[in-house]
Amino acid sequence: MKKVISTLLSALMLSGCVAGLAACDDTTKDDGIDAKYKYNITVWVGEGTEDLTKGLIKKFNDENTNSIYFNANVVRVTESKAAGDVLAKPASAPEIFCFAQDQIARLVNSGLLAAPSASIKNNIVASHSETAVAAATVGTTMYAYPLTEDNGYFLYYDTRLINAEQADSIETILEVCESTGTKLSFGLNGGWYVSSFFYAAGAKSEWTVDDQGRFTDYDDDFNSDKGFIAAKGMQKVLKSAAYSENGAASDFNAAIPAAAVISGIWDYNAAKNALSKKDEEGIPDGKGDYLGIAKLPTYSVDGETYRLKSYLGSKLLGVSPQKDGNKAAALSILAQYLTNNESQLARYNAVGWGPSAKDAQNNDDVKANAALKALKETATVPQGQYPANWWANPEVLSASLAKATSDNAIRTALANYEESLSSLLD
Amino acid sequence: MTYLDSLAYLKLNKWQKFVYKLQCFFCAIPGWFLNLFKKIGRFFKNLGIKIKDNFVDIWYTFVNGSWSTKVSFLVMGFGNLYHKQWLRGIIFLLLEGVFIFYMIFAGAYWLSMFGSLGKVQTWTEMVPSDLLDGELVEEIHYGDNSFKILLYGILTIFFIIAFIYTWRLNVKQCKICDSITRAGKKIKSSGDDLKSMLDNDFHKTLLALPVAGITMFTVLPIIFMILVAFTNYDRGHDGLMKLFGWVGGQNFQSVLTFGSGMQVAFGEILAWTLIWAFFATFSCYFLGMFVAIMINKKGIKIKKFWRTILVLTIAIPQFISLLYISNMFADNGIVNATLMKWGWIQSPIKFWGNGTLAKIMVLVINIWVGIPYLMLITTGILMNIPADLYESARIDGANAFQQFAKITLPYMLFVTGPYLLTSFVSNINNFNVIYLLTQGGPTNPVWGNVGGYVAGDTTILITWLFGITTGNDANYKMASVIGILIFVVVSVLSLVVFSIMPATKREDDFS
Repeated sequence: MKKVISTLLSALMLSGCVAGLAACDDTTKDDGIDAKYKYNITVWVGEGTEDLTKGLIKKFNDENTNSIYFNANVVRVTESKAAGDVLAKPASAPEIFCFAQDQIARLVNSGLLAAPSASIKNNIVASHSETAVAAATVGTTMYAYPLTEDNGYFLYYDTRLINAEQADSIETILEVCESTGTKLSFGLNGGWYVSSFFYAAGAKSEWTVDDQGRFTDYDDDFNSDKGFIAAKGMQKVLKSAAYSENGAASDFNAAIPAAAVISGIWDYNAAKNALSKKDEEGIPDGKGDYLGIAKLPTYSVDGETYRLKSYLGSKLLGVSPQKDGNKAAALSILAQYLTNNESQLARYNAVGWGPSAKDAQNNDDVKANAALKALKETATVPQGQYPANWWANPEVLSASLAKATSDNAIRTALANYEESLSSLLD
Repeated sequence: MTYLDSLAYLKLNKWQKFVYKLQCFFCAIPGWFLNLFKKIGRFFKNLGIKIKDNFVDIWYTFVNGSWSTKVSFLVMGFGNLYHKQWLRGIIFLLLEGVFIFYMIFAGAYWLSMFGSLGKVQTWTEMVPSDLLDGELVEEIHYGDNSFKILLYGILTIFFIIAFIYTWRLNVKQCKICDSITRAGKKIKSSGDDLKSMLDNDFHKTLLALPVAGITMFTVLPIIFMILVAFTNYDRGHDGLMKLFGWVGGQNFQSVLTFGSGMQVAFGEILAWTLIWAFFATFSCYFLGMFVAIMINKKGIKIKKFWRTILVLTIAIPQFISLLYISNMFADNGIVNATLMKWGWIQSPIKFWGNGTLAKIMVLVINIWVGIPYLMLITTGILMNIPADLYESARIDGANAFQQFAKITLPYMLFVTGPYLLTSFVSNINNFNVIYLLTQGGPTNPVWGNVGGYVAGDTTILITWLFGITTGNDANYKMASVIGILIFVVVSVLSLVVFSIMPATKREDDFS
């Protein structure tokens, strides 16, 4: 009896394996569409834009009934993760994906982006802002399609604690926070935010990249007198009891609440909700009555004041290289469509992403948006191309500065930063 | 050192005995390694002898064999077919056919590429497209795929080994057939073979599938991962868009070269990993036992209630409870807020921002997570200790501590010795507690930034491995090296501890 059962179990296991393999069958059904170029594609888009993208692709299909038809599988993959996934598994990369601009150089270096053809490139250059075009360009070649121009940060503050005048200086913000037992939330544990102090003092870090995405040279003077001023200014925040490194609007609701948060447009709704009037049950009305939004504040060192500068970066749409030239062309046309004026406005209306197309930027609704306005008023530095590992270096610098107690220690930290740069060249 | 005879040993006082034992322990260590090397040497010697014997056997089979046996050396299964063992013969023949077919159409390619892991890079070409009125667009042509070459290369080598084994089996069978024919006995028919599959050889029938499964899904991936440590496989060399190749021991060199960034980081992280594993294991062990003893005490009321409260920690997934605790102790978390409200502190305590404090915090929080498991395990064992032992101890005038040290602890150590070892090993690889509480932070600015990932003061080897695999560089090669080194550390520790553990030696003492 035992033998019979064991044999049966073995057979069951085998059939399970076979059934598992059979489930991998990947066939597509013919839906009776009569277009000359018909493709099944996968599109990765950022959070909240799946339905919008599906709608846009449907509209595209309707407008191109005779020539191109896409049967698109739209998947949500956060733009900060998408490039990493594509790089890790190039064989299963989607046809079109949305990613943050800091990854473009390494995508190009791995040959994972198909450059738009000449005419499409000309269209993009003509209709999009210069910063966004620069973000999509590596060396002299444009490799991606600008989707937004809103990756920057500014100041959200609680108007019950801080007034507009106080919000203009980091010193007064810290003073208010310390005296009221609240926090200034600022993500100085990451290179993207740490740089704001250095750019404010006039220091720079510029990297030269060739058309293959290789970093060939850099011009970086963070380790200089300007950098020293920045480090001194940053220490004021790092060493303050009121400093919190989260840098997120959720800190307005923390156990020790923040009075000011430095963050970007993605936190706009969260900040608005957190700083709204609440009804008896504690549910906010979402109008943001106590929310103040301002450009980045100043800091002062040795009597001189310096205004913090934010990066201004873009989200981009990338097209994977294709074995079939016509499919590459069709995808290129679709990517251009998904990033044109109308699509960007639709995206702004749906999820509030700041457009990079010039006409969309001039739209009255867009212009009136408080967060985009604050970003526009904030002094910004166009976010060029950086080696992906560069961002960790200001982070390490910040950790050293948090511990440094003397001017010498600051100088050493800056020197260590400079020393770490040369290894980032390709 | 000089070893004492038992009489001299008994003359020593307590302290001297302890020092003597310690000396013995350390002096024995070289001996263990010597033994290990001797065993390894003996293994290879025996292997060599076996291989030699096999060759000799094959030679004699050929020289003394019938003509059908000789043909079988080239056409597998011929001997069986000749002796009318149809099933065996056909299977051997089929296997040879499949093997030759596979080698010609796939195996030869994978094997020829195995030495270089790919020669043709992926390239692009500009072609005119109808859709853009003849404008040039990029078309991609994929070259070799290093990843597949490595994987199928290993698989092909597996097949070759399996084929050699099968061929040897075929030769053996012919020899057996020859000797049976010579003795004038009847040779097993196909029907006998089939019957034996369900009778004498039933274990083979049952084990065939699991063994195949383990080879494909466990052994093959492990060999693949080990080999990755000898390549430059990372995000810059993904295998498809950019080929990767063999680099020899270069990766090991960069982790083990004294003074290099990787070596310093590895040393620091390894040291903390061992400290962490030691304290995490023993703090939970002794405190858990202590709690169990307390709950077991006669005077304690509502025992079930206390146990339930502790077990609740297990009931809530660590993923939730640890993330919650991590937020509670944040700079702006509820703990700091409460302490400030009470006026105990003026500014928040940076629980996660200070390296030493963060280390203490993870150890303390781990105690909270670990005690309930130990309490449950020890409760059962404590109840099993014969009560008369304690009674006689009490009559002899032993106090509570003496009872614990002389009865409870030895009993516990004997029963839970293997558990202690596994728990030490699992703490070396305790990803959850560290990653969910601190993500390995706070950032260590001195040695943290290597391998495309910034490690911190509480980073242990396994979270470091995770970080550099999922970090900017997707540094698979270094991850593989670290994985191998973790294995070495764990196995050496396990072997040493296991060999000196009482549980493996005095089996009759406790029963």
